[in-house]
Amino acid sequence: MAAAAARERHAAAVDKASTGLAMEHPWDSADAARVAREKIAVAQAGAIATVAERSSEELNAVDGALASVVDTLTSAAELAVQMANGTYNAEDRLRAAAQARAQWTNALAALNVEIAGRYLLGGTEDQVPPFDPTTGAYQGDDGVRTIEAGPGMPIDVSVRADEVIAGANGGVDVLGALERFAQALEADDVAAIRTSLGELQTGINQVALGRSQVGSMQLSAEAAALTSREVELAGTERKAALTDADFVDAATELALAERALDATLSVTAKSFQLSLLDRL
Amino acid sequence: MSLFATLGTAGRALGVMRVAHATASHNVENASSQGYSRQRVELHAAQPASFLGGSFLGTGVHLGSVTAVRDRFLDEQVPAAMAASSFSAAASQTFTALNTLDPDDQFGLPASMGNFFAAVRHLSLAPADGGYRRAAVESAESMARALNRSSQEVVAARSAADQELQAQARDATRLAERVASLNAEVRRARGAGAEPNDRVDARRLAAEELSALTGARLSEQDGDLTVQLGATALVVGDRAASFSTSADPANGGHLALTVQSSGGGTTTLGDGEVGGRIGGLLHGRDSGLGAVEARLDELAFDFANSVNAAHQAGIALDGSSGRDLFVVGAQAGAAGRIAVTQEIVDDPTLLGTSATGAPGDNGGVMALLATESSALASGDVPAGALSTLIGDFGAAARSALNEADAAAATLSHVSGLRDAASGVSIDEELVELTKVQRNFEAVSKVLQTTDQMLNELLSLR
Repeated sequence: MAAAAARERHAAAVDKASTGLAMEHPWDSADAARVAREKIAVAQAGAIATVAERSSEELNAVDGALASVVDTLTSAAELAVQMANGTYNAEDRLRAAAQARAQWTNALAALNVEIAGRYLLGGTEDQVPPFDPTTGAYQGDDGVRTIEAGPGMPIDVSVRADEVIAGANGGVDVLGALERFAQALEADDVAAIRTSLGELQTGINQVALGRSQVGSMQLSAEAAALTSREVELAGTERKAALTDADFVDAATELALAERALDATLSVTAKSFQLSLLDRL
Repeated sequence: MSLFATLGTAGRALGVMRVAHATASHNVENASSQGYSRQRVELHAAQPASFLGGSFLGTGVHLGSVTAVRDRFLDEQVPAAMAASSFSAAASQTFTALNTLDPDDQFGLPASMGNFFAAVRHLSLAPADGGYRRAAVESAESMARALNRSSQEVVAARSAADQELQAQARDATRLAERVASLNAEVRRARGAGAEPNDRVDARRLAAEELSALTGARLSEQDGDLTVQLGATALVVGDRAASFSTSADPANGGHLALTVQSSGGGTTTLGDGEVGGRIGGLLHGRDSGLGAVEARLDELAFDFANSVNAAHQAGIALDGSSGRDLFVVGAQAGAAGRIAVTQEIVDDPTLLGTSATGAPGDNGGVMALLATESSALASGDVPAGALSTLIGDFGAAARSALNEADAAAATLSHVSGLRDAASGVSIDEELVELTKVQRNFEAVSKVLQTTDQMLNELLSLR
């Protein structure tokens, strides 16, 4: 009986040392429920972090697009200042109009930014270009996409392009302003050029404000990603502490179990030697 | 006393020595026989028959009896210890047959639940993306399959317990019949004036095995060994009970144990009404695994209904809504039945991810995610309900294992005490054989000497 018990303990020590697991089955430890909970929590934190990281990348792309639009509007405004000057004639303004049209096209291309077939500035209508490729009319909606910064804690990860670009709720239609600027240049209408200049300058401030919103969202997403990765790592370490065997302890336990088994077998063998059968 | 009388006395003594030798030899040969109690020859001085010169003269040795060395106290302790050990061993074995609730298993329930909500979370980033939709549906299928697997393993473990129960019921019937048959043999042998020690040992061994199977109590009445399980007589005299099993519709078709007592009455025994290995099987099957099966069904049912309620409000890419994500049916058997709605498996665009109808709106996905932290009908969130189930099962299994260890240690101790009291010591028997041998030699000398004296007398002229 003692030998059988010693053998069982030895087998358990071998299993623990070879697998590196201190807990495999629910009955191995009173922490089984905790391990299950940690496993689910680690998956949760990892997914939140991944989504936040990807959202941050998308917001980076949106920021790049808006920066490009700001640059375009700034160039257009500079051109407007120039062309509003009486030293330029109709021919000069006609050439400038071609430049303004190119600026409109560049801004449109930037605003129809996409990642993996999903348009980023259309609100929740992300399957079609948010700005019509021909007219520049806004085709998206006023929806704002959200993700989780933590379990049950939503944060916004998209900017309202209908406001920042299309001028909804009292703003300036940026693409419309560029179009009107080009038309004013083509018509050699200095007064209209000056009016366009005002719109362009308002547009620059409007888009810059949009960029700051994007920047703020990006910071939130990055913070959410960082925090969730830390939670994921801490959860992984806690789970490992509960399930993994300490190799030094496991090796010591194995050595002790081997000694105990050896001693039990020696005693058992000795007891068979102590018999009158060999002496009579 | 005459020389011829002395010859007769010596001859009888040689016969007694042969009986003593045979008894010691029998002990040595049965040193390893299970249930054997060593036997001792009781020798007495024979009644003096002659009165000569004012003194009674002895008439040699008389064989009293051959008795088995038994300790009645320990004989009563061992069956109870065997029953307790068998009960807890069987119960713990049914628990530890289950691997489906291993908390860190990469394909287990916690991993599947975590992956399901992770995939839904990824979907929140791009609800219209075909790849994310397919991944979310597959993770839901994995969750359903994990529940199916868990349920199947529990059902299989309970069915395995049923099969063993059938076999143990047959063994119990056989053992009861053997004890009854041996009761009759012992009574006949005693009626003829002899004490059938080996038959008594065999009867006790069979009765102890029956007790280990059923937890029955043993008692001796009028020389018969009576075996009683609660109010049900398993063996009375030469009459034995019989065990049978039949499917119990009230217990999902699992086997119920019925005993027809030696008196003729029929009783159905459930968990808690029978001990020993059979009791352990019933306890493990019903109170242990049965509880796990019921809680898995409850978890699957509540989880599916919680997710479905959120999903029904979600709008698919084609503008439709009102679909269930999971098909689950009634609560009983839910874990074995749960599956993702086939329509959605075939076409992930039917996953209800939007709250407004716009493809990029993830309101439906966020509603699905909210179920992760919403209490189920049982009162706990899904992760909490699952981890509590795993923790409770682990605690029950660990308790059963600890009880099995403790009961085995008690049995080992009590059996050791009984073996020390009733078992055969080779050294003792060798000493006894040597004593008998020398005694035989001495009596032979008496015969020889008496014979020489007779020769002297007969040669007188």
